[in-house]
Amino acid sequence: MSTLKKTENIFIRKRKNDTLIFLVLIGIFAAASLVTGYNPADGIRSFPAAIQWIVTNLVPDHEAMERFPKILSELMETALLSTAVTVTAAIFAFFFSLPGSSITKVNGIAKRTVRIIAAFFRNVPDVVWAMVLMFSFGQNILTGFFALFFTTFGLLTRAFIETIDEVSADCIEALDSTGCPFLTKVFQGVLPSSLPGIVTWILYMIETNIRSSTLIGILTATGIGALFDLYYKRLDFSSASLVVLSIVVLVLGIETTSNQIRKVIL
Amino acid sequence: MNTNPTITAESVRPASPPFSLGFMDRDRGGKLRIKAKNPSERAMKILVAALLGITVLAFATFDYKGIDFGKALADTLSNLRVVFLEPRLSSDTLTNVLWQLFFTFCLGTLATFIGAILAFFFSLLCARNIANAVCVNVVKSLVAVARAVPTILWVLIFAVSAGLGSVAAVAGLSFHSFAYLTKAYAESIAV
Repeated sequence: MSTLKKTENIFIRKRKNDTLIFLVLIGIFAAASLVTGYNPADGIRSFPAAIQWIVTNLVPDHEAMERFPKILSELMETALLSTAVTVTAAIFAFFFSLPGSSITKVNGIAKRTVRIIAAFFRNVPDVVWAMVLMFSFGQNILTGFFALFFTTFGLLTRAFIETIDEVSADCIEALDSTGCPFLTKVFQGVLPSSLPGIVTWILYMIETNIRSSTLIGILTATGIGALFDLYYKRLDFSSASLVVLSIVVLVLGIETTSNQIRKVIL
Repeated sequence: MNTNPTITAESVRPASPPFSLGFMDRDRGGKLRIKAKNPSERAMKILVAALLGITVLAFATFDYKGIDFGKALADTLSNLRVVFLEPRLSSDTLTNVLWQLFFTFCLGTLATFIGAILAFFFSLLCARNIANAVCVNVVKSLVAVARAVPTILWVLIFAVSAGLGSVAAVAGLSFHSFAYLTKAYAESIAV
């Protein structure tokens, strides 16, 4: 009898908990809507409206096709830029993450410092970096390069620290017992065993950076973002749609390629 | 006749070993291979080489517009000092700054909520162990396209159709979180 009562209690308590969580979520939603003046009904209505607008306006026409070579060359530049940024940032981030990992750390202070610096670079949005760099570098490709570089560097440092922590503990212990010097340990132990993880992260960041470089391009008037901005402000939506489509094709292409690569290397 | 043959290199080291060592894998230079052939290692080497090659190509083809790098770098450092170390409330009040921060936080919360609710239902449609194969492929491709379009473009598209304001912001942001979360949820449903 008493067990039955206990079971019932558990169910009642669980239901109470679920209801409470649900109400809290609804409350947060309502409060956030109130603060931002967001109208859920308008929000729902905006989805079909947007899709209808996309179908009627975002269709490349003949005029847009004439601009295709220009779009393609800008797209190429963006792809090269994001690859270059990611690879450069990855090289710096790998060496920077070594003192941050608990396996290859020098001491506790260095480890914490590395993590704080990485968090700083990661959490300042790339847009802010782009704005600051705009003053000194102007509308130059290097503005976009450094803006993407800083955030990628922060993110990859954090990711590499975790990859190194997970992967190479046994290997490092073995190398340590032979009295290996630090750099040998890094290049013979840490790097080979964490390379699959590192490459996976690099491929992911290349894809992300292509997307981010659109926004930065709008700000710094370089690359594919600037081209979209130009057509969008001229209300030349068919050309803008061609830009969107070409970005989609590029990103999907990179995503598919990196999935295939991941299958081979892992 | 010489009964004591001079010791030469040939007589000490016979041309072929007196017993068979079996098959020995040698590389092109004649060195013994001490590692098994590993296709994934080979793929990795090619990939790393390709990435480094693209990077060098990128740096070589960029249009730097003859920028004075040293001066720009020095300017950047002083700008960074101003931005990060000398904050001053010259054109705004602290309350307004905090209020705008809170406003942004609320936009993010709303977008994530809406995205998560939509993503839950769509992830059911593209989890291989629940939905049928055609449905999975269609929904997965649609979500992949939605993910490939940058967030800023979604927001701009919604800004045209819904007008400027929080509705466009939330719709654009939630569209992207929806696309990401659908993929993540579907993967955790169909482990």
